[in-house]
Amino acid sequence: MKTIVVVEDDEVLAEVLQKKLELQGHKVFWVAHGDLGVAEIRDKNPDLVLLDIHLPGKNGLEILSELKQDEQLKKIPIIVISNSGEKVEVEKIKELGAVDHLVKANFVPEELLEKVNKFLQNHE
Amino acid sequence: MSIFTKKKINLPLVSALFARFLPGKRDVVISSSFFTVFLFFLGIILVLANILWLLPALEAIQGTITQNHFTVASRARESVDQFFNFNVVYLRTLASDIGSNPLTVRQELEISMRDNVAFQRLTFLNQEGFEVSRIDRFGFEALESASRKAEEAVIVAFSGESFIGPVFFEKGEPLTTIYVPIMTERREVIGVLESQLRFRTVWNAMETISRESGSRVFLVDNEGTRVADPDPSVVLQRENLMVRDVVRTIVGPGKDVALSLAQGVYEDENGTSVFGVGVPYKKLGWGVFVETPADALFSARNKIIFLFILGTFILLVIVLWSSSRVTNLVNSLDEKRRQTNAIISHLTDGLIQYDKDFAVILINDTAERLLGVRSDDILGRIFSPKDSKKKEWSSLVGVLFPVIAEDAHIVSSGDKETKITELKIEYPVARDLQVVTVPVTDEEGGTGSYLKVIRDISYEKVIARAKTEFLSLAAHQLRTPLSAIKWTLDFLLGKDAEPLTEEQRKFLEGAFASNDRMIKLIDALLNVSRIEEGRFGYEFEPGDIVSLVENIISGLMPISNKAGVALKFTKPELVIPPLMFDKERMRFAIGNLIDNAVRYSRKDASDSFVTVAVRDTEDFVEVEVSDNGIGIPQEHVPHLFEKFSRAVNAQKATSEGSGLGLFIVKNIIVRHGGDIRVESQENRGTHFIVTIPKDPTKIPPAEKTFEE
Repeated sequence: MKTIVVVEDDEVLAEVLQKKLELQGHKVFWVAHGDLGVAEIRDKNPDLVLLDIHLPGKNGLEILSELKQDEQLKKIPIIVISNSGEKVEVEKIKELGAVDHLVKANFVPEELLEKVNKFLQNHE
Repeated sequence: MSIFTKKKINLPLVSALFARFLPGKRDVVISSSFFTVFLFFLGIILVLANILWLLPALEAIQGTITQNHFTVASRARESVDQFFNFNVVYLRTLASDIGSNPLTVRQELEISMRDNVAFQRLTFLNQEGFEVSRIDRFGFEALESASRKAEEAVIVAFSGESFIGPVFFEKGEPLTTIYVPIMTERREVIGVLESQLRFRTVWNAMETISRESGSRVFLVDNEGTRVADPDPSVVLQRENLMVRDVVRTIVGPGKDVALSLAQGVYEDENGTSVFGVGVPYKKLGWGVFVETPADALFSARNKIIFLFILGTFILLVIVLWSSSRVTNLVNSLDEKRRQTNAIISHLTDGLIQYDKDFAVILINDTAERLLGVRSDDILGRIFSPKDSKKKEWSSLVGVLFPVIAEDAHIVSSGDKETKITELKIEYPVARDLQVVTVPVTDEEGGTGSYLKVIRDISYEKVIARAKTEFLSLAAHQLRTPLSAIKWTLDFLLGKDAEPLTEEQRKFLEGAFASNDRMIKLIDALLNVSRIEEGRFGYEFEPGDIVSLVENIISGLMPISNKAGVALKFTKPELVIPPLMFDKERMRFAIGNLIDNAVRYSRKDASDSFVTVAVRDTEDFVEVEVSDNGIGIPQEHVPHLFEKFSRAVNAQKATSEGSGLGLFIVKNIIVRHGGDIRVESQENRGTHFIVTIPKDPTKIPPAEKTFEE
């Protein structure tokens, strides 16, 4: 059982994700506002983070950058889930240290789950 | 504006001259008003030069005229002198004959009278002055009874000198008298010989010389009275000519004895203007005068003066006319330049002209403003990339040498001669500029200078950026609810949700598919808009096309299996060297073609296949996607690569498909310098053949807006 933090502002998406992940047996914490992201992660110390880019308040890139600069938090694997997929953005995300990136509209939750499991396994 | 200020013209020759002395300055100008003044003074100088020639010529003519008259006068004088000399000598001889033998006086006189036809009368006066013997033409005559020794002539003769008397008239005949002393051998004066001579000979001589010379030659005595003239009637008038300066100078009491001639222009007795030259006959104090009517005489001189005046006049007219022409020309040139200036300075784009050495020839107001320079500081100066160090010139140098400018990239154009570059400048403010470089060809076809047309595209750039951001945001905003729908439906259709009825499943699957189409449509729209804006963002890298195709095929295998289509790959025999391409885009393009081939296979057939082949020709790599599917109707083929274009049979086969795929595919292939063509037959099959050039230089330099 792993702890996963989902940072996503869309309620429907977050609900589906949470449901699927909990059915897998993981503990899921959901943050909808960017400003609360880092604090929640610090608090819950998850094994994985699913991070959206477009958020109210602080955006995903800023959060990603902040996390990777933090000594404690930089080890946590982060999968960026966004919907823009602009080349420039993807490069930036990779540069900042996210382990993977996917476009929500092009993936179904099952596929996302596979990636999650992969990274959780690796992380062990 | 700089060079083209008021009233200046450019004389290439002069400016080349000046350029030697002012290195670094290229165009020196002369003011047109200076030019006019210059021409005017040139005209004056020429006129003065004309005069320089004229005066000596006139003098020479005058001299010749005078000389000619002098010669004639001298000749006339000579003949007068001969007359008197001859007769005086004759009389002296006669006198001495008489003197040595006084008793023979009568005979001697007789003989002399016979001998010398000039004599009219000869008279012998004795010591007391009484006439002793007298003979005239017709014989001996009665003698005067009174003594004549009081007469002046007699007195002079008695003193031993000969005396020549004035000219007088007797019965209309001109006569003159000569008195000579009669002396013995011992030089004792024993008498005076008086002779009256006919003066007509002299008259005849004057007449002859006049006739020969074409002038009027006459004789004037020491009192200024005319004594000989070609016209005898004039002499008879006994006119005194002392009023004339010429006469007065020669024979008057105040005459200059050293003077050898006098000349002048005056009116003769008829009122005719004449030119007269007089020479003195010093023996008698008489004067010989030669007159010629001034008009005829000076006709030559007058002609010359007239020619001179005419010539000068014509010259002046020419000078004035040509200078006014030049002024007009210059003014009209000025006018044209003013107009051009006005246009150039009012251009909303910046304009710079520079030569091969990168010396700035011209810069308009807008360019000055955009680049933060002043024309006075930079005109004529030769620039090099080093000058970018100076902040004030950094923007100008960036425009002149885009290679070193910030963020400079070439935007290609159709015309090979013209180059369009976009770059950023920081001074005087941050701007995005578009710089068009155009070579200026001269008459011979060579390139003498270049133009830079500078446009501030900061606004356009801002708009473009805004558009991009808007599109990204729009895409994202659209995708988010679509993702939500997708995931929700997926959950319901998946194992984690409660089981569904057949009907529920069918509808939910339909909803899922529709939603997916929407997502794909948005993707395609986004790509198309990026292509049209030239922002598709190609990145070319060397790669292995064969392994890419393999990878695509393996990725599509599940779909082809599901559709019951056999997907095969024909590898080339030999290894293809690395090709320059954008991996992501090429994957999309080839994947799209294969996906289409699978999608448009014949549903009722069991032997549907899609074959992909990669071939290596000398200059190209060919990728062929062949199928035995529904084919493309002939009438649709021309529209195949247009936006939103789907053939009728394709629409029937599946409602899926945006009609954008092939548009994007073609763009990708063209962007690689390649080409795509299709061969197809309805209900038989389709071949798509993609050719990509191996030579990376064939890749077009920049993103063009795709023209369908």
